[in-house]
Amino acid sequence: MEIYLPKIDILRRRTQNDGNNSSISSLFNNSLVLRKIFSFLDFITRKNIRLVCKHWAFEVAKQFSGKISLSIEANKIKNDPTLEKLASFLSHHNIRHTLKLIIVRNEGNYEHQHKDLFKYLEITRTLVVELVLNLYIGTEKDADLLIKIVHPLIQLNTLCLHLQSHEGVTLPVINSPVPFYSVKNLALSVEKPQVTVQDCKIRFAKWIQALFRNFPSVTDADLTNRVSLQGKMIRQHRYLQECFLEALVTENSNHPIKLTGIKLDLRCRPNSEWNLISAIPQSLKRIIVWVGADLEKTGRFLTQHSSTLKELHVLFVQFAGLPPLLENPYRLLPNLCLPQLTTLRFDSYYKVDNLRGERPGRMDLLGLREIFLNGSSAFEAAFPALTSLTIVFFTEFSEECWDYIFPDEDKFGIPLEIRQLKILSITMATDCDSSLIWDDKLPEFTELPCVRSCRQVWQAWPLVGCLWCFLIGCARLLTCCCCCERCCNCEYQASPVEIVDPPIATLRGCEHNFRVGEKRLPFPASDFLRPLPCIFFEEKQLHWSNSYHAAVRPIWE
Amino acid sequence: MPFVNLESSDGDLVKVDVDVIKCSVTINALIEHLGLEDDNEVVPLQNVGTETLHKVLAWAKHHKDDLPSVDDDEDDPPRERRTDITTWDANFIKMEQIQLFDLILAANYLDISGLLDLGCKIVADMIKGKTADEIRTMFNIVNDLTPQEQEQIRKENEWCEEK
Repeated sequence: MEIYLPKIDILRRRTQNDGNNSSISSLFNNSLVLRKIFSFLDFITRKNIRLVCKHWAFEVAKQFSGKISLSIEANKIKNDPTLEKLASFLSHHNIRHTLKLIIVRNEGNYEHQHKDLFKYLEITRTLVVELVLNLYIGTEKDADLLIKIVHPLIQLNTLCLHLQSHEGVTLPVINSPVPFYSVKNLALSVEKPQVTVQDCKIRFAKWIQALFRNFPSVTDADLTNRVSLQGKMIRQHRYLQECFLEALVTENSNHPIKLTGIKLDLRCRPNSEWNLISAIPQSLKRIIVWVGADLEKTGRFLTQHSSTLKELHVLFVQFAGLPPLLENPYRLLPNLCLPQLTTLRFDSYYKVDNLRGERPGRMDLLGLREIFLNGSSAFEAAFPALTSLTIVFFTEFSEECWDYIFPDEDKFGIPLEIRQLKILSITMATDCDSSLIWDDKLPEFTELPCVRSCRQVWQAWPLVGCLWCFLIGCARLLTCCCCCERCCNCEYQASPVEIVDPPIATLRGCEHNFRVGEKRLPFPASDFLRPLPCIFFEEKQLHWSNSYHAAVRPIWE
Repeated sequence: MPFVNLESSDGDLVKVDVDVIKCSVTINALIEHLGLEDDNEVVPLQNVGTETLHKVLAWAKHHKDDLPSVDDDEDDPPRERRTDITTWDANFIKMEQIQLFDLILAANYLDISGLLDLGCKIVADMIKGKTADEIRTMFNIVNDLTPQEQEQIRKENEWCEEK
């Protein structure tokens, strides 16, 4: 009997194929490995690969938890089964998410009008951890609707309220039968036409106090009342922050609030508001401040909380029309002693013509050089717990800036050695050409011998973002970051956009930094800076009405 | 104990410096908890073939002086990971797909996070920019999704935005 024997090479090929299939099968059946692979993919790719097979669809969906947001315009989803299916999908995979909900004014029975929405909220009641709510509120019924929306969400941690009401309408007081104890982060924004500060106080005082009563566990509050769309600030009420502060201070005297973090705009504030700012009774641990020319007053505010402050984010902003910040010789840090401060971030943002060639000292608005020149011991005494330092320049600058800010020696000629700094994130590049990063221009930072993570952060004007994280080949740097797609060459090369104000969402993570128009630049969120645990409005949440574009009114105008 | 004997699934013994293989959590645990104090003791690695084991050891030898990675955002939720690959690693990882997959499985079994990351990054790069069809073809994956399920996934994807 003749036995057919395939040639050796065929046998080998078959063996290899079989082995290949076996390895593929083993690899892709291993959920841990599969999740690890997916973790290196961007969000859009992850969504696409859900179409590969059921197993991949399942594994990717599990990774969505805590990372996705859904936008729902409640008035457009009547009798649409999609929403229920979506809720089932989220529930099935236990996906915690952000819900961005837009409800426009509508007469009639809201329970009937929004029954699909309420069904969604009931199904996902434990999964909505952040709610960004844009709601018209003018009557008691609207206030009830707000309560009804928030009430089922028992795991809600962050609430961003953007409320609209007509001029002359006093916001109805929100009175929930049970306070919302889960909400820790609260951001407020109210769309109102220009009114006087007295009008504003009369209309909002009770409402805001009641709001704080309804959310007694709030620890972080964004009171800046800033609303932006695609990086363009579309609305900021001149007096609302003051009203919020007054309500906060008043309410606190009646029912102490657990506030430990706050975000404030300290640019061009009236004296009455500075008085309120200084009256904030709690010792804050987290502060984010937009700073203008009133550096001395800002310094006093920070001094007030210096004993407890752990995270500080200072944003210097200079626009035409504002008092010239660059001319103020006062520097914040040399006048502060922050024994508990662990994280310091400084964003410098100018909307002036090219600053290239400016003296580096004018860029060091925080006064870092001065505190370094005081010597290692003085630095350690003033900031003994500081381990993470971030400096972001949004404007073109010269590389010598870093040599200026980080001197090699103190003022006595003794070599500097700041050992406590472990994480350093700074802007390095001056344009999109990566060769500028990879040549010999990298500073060595010998004065920071214990830095184990060094990250490059940069945003070119006007919002053409580029992020390079780099490995400095020193043994002391333990971690390195990625070199992302080069924005000069990528398809997302953005056209210039007019920026009225830095996007609030800059503070949230890098993906917003690099958003231009509707295009998302392919940079992973993880490689930007750790945001402070306050809450912010995002520009992308606001797409309700184009008419708001006409209402752009920066606060200083 | 400066050396340890590793036995591959093919039955081959490979003597390796403990310092080199300390990156493997699995082997470290075996050495520590099983009391392998004798140089002649053998650690059986039933899931790792000889060829793959040699590759693992080559990687481990190159990276033996690496300091442990630092996670500076321990409190943060899991995020997309960085995608940097050094030149040495890039050259090292140039291999056939089957070898790459075996290496990833070995890294996973031996719990060597750096090597696992490297392999997974490469596979992720293979996936990037490809359609579901192309991925299925590349990895010989059977499409077990019905057209209705695919449509449902598309709808879900439309709703979900990155936070």
